[in-house]
Amino acid sequence: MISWLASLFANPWMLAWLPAVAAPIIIHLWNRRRYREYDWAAMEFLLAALKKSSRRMRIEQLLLLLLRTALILLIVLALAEPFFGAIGAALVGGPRTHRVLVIDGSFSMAFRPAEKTLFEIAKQKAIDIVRASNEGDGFSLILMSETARPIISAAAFDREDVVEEITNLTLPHGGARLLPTVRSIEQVVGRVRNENKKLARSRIYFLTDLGRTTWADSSGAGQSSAELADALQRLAGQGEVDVVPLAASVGSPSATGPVNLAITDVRIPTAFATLRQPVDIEVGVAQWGGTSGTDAVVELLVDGARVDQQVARVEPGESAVTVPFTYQLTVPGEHQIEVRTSGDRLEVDNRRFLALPVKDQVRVLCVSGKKDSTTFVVLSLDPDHGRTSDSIVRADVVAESGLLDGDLSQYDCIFLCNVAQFTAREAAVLKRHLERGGGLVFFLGDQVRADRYNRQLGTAEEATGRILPGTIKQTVEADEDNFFGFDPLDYRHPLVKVWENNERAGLLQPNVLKYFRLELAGDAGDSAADERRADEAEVAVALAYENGDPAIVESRVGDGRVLIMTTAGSKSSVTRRAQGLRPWNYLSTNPSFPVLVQKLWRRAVSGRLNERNVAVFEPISGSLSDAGSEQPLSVLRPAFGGRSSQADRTVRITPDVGSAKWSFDETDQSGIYRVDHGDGAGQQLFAANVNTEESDLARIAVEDLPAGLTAQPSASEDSDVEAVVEAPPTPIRQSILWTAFALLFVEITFAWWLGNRQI
Amino acid sequence: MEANRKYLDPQMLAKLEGLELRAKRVIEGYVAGLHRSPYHGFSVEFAEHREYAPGDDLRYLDWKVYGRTDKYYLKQYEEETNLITYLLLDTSESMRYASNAASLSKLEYAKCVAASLAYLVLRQQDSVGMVTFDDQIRHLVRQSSNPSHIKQLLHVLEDATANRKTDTGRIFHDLAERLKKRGIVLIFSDLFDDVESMMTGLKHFRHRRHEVILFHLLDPAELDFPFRQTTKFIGLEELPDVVTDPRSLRKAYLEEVGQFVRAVQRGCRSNNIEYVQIRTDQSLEIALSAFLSKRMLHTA
Repeated sequence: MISWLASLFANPWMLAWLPAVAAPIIIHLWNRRRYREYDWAAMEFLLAALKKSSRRMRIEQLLLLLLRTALILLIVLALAEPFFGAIGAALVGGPRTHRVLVIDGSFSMAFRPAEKTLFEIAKQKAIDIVRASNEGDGFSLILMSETARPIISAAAFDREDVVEEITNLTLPHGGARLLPTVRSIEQVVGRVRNENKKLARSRIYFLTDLGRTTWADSSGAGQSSAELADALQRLAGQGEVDVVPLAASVGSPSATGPVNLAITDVRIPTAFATLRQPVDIEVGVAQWGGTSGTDAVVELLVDGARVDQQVARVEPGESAVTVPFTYQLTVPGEHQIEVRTSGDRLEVDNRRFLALPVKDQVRVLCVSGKKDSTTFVVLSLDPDHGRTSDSIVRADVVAESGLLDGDLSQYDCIFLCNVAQFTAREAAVLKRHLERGGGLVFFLGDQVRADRYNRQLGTAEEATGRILPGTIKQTVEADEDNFFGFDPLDYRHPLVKVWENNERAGLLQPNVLKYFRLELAGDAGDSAADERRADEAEVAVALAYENGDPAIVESRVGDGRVLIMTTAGSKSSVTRRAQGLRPWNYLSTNPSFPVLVQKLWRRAVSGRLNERNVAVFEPISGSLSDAGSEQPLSVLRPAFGGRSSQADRTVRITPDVGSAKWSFDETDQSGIYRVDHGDGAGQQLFAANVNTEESDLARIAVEDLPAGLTAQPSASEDSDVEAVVEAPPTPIRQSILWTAFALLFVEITFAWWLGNRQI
Repeated sequence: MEANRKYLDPQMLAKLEGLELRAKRVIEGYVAGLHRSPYHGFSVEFAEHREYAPGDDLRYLDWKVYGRTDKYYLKQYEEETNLITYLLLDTSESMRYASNAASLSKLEYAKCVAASLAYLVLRQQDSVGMVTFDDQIRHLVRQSSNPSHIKQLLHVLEDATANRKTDTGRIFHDLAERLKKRGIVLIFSDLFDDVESMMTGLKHFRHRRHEVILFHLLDPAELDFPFRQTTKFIGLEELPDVVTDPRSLRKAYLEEVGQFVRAVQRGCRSNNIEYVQIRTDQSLEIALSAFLSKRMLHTA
């Protein structure tokens, strides 16, 4: 009832004054009971006069009462501010429309042409459309973002609820995908049509800045454009589609858009940070729009404190300028790095974050399957054996049987050298290590039992670990007096990039006698499921033998990385030849070996940093310190959209029962997310950053919109929405007030005439 | 003496000094006085001659004229007689009404006027009688010219109270029969009765050759109807009460009163009755002196 009244009146609570219309009648009756008494001699004349005048008097009194009652009624109505169109529609049942409000949620909508951002203007226009609509109209609300989120997917009829939803919208810091949005609109429109037959018409409003990044596909060529054009055409067939471009002041469509600076990248080239060495931080800065370059001031903030600043000359164009910073961290633990610039009207992409866990040293565990299997590896990892304070790696060595003895969570990387086999329990421990973002490097050798590897760590369904990127097959041995050399595969993989143009360093020197052939998942006619799994694991061959067999293969498992070298990492693995026992390879005595080992562990642990730093809308996740725990976690989101209080920004998540992992996908804002495990394990920091595709503020021309989409006049802060909504329900308060004034005048005149005409 | 002070204000009577109630027409009477009598021959004052007609009394033949002119003329003498004034006072319930604008009720006002006129008449050695009535004759005081008669009259006035309905028509008929001697009949009433029957009664007086003067006493509120707020009018003389908004009734009421007054005036004109309307907020001496002066002027 209240919502129905709210659709008819702007201030329905004012109708509470309606009983006041009875006031004149009550006063009249009360006055009749309040009289003076007089003896009266000339009663005959009074009675005669009364007899003659009673009818006239009754009519006059009635008229006066009607006038006064109508006067109060009109004033109450005027205070309630009825909508003419709404009243008319309510009385006669006018056409009802399903209005779908689609608000562009790409972060370019955070552009601030004047006082308000485009997103704020869009919200206000959407509210105006809701308020200006007819009684009985239904509303749906969709935020066009990366995921095309329907905020109201059914038809809502309570305007105030819709207005509240619009008001509560916050702008995500992601892009906007038009095709999923159009499909989402189709679904919403179809469902509402099925559920509510009275909403015969549909009208869809796109409130957008017409950003080229979002809309380019709608006017372009290619498969996605054709698909989008089809979807838009279908949509246009279902109802009217209005595009309300926001703020013409953004720039002419043909231009490149206004000047916009953005931090495009913040990265640690070493992929890890320790207290032993200063951290190198590379910052990418780019400028879109404009014709001349900008001297961008780039600030570096560590844990919220500004520690460095540089000025970089940035020229317009898509290539970013790299600004290097170096900073020595002094405290181990979680650190947040923030890089800022300023000087434009779009602030979202002027900041970029990096969550950086820092340790005193990188801990590496080397598991030896045979005597001396790890000697050269340990030497390569920590040549000083921890004797100097500069060593960033501390390597511990255990025998094969000691894998389960220690706490693996303190190690960043585990080297498994010539380990013969793994138990199921060992495979599970390794799997968990990987899922936590740890690294795993395999060196095979003469102790290795391929069938056991494949059973516990392979890709087979029954395997416990499913760690290996493929299946270990038989060994391959070179002919007498021959060695296998390496094929660097054009140095495409980062692991071997350093040897490009450095062939004399000896990596490619043929010195391998024997290796295990590794058949990668997805090869050799494996099932589609295997291929999909291989894709998910991002299996990559970093180095191959000259015959094409993989020598070093990288894959992802959970948050961690696995690198497997199919030959031995020491000379302790031997093979019998005509000349006697010969090592599997002479790699460990190659000058490139220490470099290779360094590259391997750095590559293996890089997953840890990557998993802490995601793009907006990518989920953040991690392993539970206590697997299967149902202890809830709390995630403190970055401050945004006016939500500054910690309580407002905190989200509690409860892991699935029995799961070893937690995940949080509400990363629609850029910034630092603090995850508190609540069990004394402390906080973990995660950074979500914007995709700077949206930093290009150029927009498409209204004329380039696909057929079927009607472009409305550009809306700015001050423009109104009359053109957008047909038959706007006019507030008729002014007319009612004028009528009330006229009635007041008539009442006063009439009452005066009644009171004075005989005198 | 109480009544004397109440109804006869010495100051007012002093202002009326020199004024007399004079009959406009001939009045029957026995005592020589101010007024002409229809009877000739008994007076010493010669009036006129007229030619003899057969059958005339030869005693009044003027032989001196016959001797000079050989024509028969009769001597005619004017006989002076006393004035009989009848004061008829309406004491019906409606006469006790007094609005805020008037200091006296209509009855009290009428009593004052009647007492003053009685005093004047007695002072000029004419005789005065008095009748009070409502739907019946309450008091009837025979006429007398004795100055001490005023005491009796004042006593009657003192006793007169307004409690009953009125029935002027019947009362006037009755009185017309009972007042044998011709004289001036002064009626003090608000006349709130049926105009037609009242006029018939008044006609009866005229038929009896009385000179009738009708003092129509009205309260200013009855003439102006100045009420504004919702009022309950309590009916007198057994008429019902009315609650009404007086402003919306005023015009119709005034029309009704106007019609009534005009009907009375028309009846008086057609029957040679002098009509004197007195508002009770009017000063008594002004009302009386205006009436008496006008009368003296017309009878001079």
